[in-house]
Amino acid sequence: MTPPRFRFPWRSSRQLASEVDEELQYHLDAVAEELIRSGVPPEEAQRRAIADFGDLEGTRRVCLNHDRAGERRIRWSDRISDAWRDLRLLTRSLARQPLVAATAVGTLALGVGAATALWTITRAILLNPLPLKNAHELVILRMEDKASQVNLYPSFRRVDSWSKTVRGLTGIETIGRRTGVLSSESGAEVVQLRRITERFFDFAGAPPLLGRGFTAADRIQGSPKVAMLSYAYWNRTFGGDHGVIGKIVRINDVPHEIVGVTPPVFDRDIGALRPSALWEPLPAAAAGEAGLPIGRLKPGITPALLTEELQRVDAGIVEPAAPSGKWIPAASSARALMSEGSAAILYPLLGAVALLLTIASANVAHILLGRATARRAETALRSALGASRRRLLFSGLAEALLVGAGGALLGLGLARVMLALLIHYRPPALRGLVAVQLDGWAMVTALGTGVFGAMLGGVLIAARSGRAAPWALLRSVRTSTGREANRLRFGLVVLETALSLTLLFGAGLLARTMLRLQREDTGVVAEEVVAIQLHFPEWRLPNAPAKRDFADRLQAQLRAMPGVSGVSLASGVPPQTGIMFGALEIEGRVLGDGAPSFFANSSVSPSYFAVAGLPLLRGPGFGPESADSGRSVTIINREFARQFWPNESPIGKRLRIAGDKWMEIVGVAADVPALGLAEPRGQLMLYHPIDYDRSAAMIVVRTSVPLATLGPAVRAVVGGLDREIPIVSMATVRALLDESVSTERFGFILIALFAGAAVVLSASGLFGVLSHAVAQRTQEIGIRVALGADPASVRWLVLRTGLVPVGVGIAIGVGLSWASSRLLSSLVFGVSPRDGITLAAAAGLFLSVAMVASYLPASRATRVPAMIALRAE
Amino acid sequence: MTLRALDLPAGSVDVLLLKALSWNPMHGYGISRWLKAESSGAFGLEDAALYQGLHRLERQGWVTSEWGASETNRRAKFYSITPQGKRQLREASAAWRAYASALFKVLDASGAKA
Repeated sequence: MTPPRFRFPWRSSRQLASEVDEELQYHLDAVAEELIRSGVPPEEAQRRAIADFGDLEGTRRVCLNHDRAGERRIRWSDRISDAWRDLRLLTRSLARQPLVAATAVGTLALGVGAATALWTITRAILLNPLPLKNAHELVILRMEDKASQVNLYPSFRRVDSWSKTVRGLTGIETIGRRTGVLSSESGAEVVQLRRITERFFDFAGAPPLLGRGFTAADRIQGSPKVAMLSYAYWNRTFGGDHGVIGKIVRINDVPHEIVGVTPPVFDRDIGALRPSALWEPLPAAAAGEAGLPIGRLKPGITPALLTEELQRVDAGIVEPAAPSGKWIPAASSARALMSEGSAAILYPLLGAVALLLTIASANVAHILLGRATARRAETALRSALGASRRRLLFSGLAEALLVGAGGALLGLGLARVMLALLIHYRPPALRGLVAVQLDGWAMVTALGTGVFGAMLGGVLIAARSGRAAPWALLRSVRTSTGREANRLRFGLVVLETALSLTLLFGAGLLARTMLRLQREDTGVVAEEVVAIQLHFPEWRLPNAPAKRDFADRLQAQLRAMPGVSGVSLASGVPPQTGIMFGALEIEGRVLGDGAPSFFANSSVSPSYFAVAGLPLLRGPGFGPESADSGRSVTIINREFARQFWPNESPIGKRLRIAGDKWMEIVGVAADVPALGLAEPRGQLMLYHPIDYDRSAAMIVVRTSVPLATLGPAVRAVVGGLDREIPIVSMATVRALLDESVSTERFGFILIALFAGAAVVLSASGLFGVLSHAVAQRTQEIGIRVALGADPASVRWLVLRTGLVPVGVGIAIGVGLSWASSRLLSSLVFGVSPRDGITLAAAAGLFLSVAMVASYLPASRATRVPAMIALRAE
Repeated sequence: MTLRALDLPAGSVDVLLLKALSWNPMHGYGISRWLKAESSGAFGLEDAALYQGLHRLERQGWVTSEWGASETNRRAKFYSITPQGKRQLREASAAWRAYASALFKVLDASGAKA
């Protein structure tokens, strides 16, 4: 280390210039004097001195330049060595209080970690553009029913006529889909297939990762069967093997040659289309089917403009098999649609994390303020000794920077862990979240939030030290600055209280939502009903009798299993029943335009209601002969009966959907959450007698045996009957219902964790402030006690000190909660996002935590012995 | 014969200035006079170059300056050599000596051998 230098203070540019002038003038005078001494007349001497010197002006300039550069370097090296010295001092002083330092850094790291992890996810899912050519031009087209808010895929035929007439697009490509059975030695597996034309990858601007895409020849009937693997499936099943091209997979018992692997960008929802395992060429003759059309906008055309044009063009299209209802075409930006579900969960979480970060930051500010107060005498001394304001300011900020950097570093580590956990427990809405990693931006985020978080404290200290009068600080401990510090601390308590309350309120709303959902009447005995989804491949069970035979034999075997009290068949159970569209007609009534046209439906065998424990409120229900008589009978749900036959029995009445066959109502069943717990209540539902002419069926088993035990046994039974029949899924209705709200639960758990952390941080902040206040007022309290104040009044004195800022904070927090409630509205249902009871409960909870945090310092104050307090000074 | 400052080999000004300062701190005018006396006027180093050189050396950290009182009791800027400057002087003089002796060796050579 270089020894301390003593030198003149920093010199200004003007000073430097005058020094150069003075130096040169001295030289000229000395030369002139010498000349005069040798007999030259004074004026002549001066002239010659200047002439002999050479380029005087140039020398002046050069010297000044050198001096300025030198001065600049000195300034920088001074600054750096000062900063370095301060930092070393600070590090040493922080190291002397390891617990304080660790608390500050740890608190900050908590906020930084959470913020970095969530921001990384948000950026990956919501903000990153799709890695497709001109992704902003891509739009997803659909048919939309305004009344039911349901979207449908348009048929290929319709899309074809759009692509001929619509002028706002440069092209349209449609993705079809199909369910297939992939068989291998390890058994049969049901997979989704996306079906595309030979133009798709060019159109999207994302070439196949491996091998080739499809050709026009691939789509012609009778050509050799080919398929592409999705990136995820290729990795999962083939371990990312590059030698996969040319291998054969059996789809629906037909060998397909693998010709390529699709790029990873397509392993996500595209509109309502879930990611698929395999891709195949769209058969040229698929015109009647429906698919998901993706369009490319012409420059200057917006999705809204295109929607207008589509609706104009579409008015003339009449389709023979179109579902009735008011279906109108609409277009939305692909980018927005692909992240729609994620936004609903990510934005509230980001908001929550911002609050947590601010609270953590306020807590760090508490700690830094505490240290600054402890250092007050030192600061005063330095200031009195002439330390510049800038230098003192730097000391305050440097500590914050040090804590911030520590917090950022630790936070980055924490973010890694949190990110891994978030990805592991990701809800379906964040399905796209697979390969997200901490990157350079995450580091910038961590550093930024860390420094930002610590700076709140740094800035407060700096602002204070700027105003501090050294004499006041040196003279006494109880001064205006002491009080000012307390004001700052209480300000921080107000801030923390307000933000914590907002988080608590959010957590409370979500908790009430979850509770409501948990208690929701599910109609069926959700815990005991196991739904086994089977797929009936055409090539194994070619017709209805074969399927029926298989189903009957399977049911008989399952019925004989121990712990199984009933077996039945259904096309779907809550929350995965089917849906149907078409205007409702009731015999003998005119429903008009307001007729409902969107229904949940399920085809069930007669025993379904008994097996599922679903009460049949009225009517005989289906008999054994119902299935054979076609769809001429139906069972409606209670809501249906309530809306259309409020004062009479609907049994025996007839209704039909979309002009189809008339169906006689033979029963009224209790309501079920047919489409999921998160869907609005009051869904109309229809049950039909099961027919066997379908490729999928659900075996509904009522059992008291846990699924872990039942599962393998069921697999053995199905495999024993036919090992080419795949089991798609097996789960209790409870598990299915839980899964239908997993996004909401995910949000709830995270926000509850954030709120918990926020309350702990705020309470510890409050505790610290009150402890400090009690310590400061020891003398005053001692005098009160000496004068006969009873403990209760002393305790109240301290409690009051804490409750005032908490009260103010709660008042602000209520307003903040109200204002931010809209952010949560997508995750909250069954409860108003501005629920007063929840808000009151959150405020009450926070208040009681605050009381506990205040009680300790308060009771300590009552134990202050009078004499000691008086001597404390 | 009078050599003009510009005719001095590059880098020699620095070494002359450092040498001048190697005993005592001096002001610019003092250095100028010392150089004239020492070289018997052979080095007609222009004062302009001298001052530019001094400021350059200061920037390089080889000399430092301080204001003090001159012989005539006027405020004058005195330069003194720093430890780095001394080191530089040592190295530069060695190099110049080697250069000069090599040069003389060549100049004193007695005709090329056939």
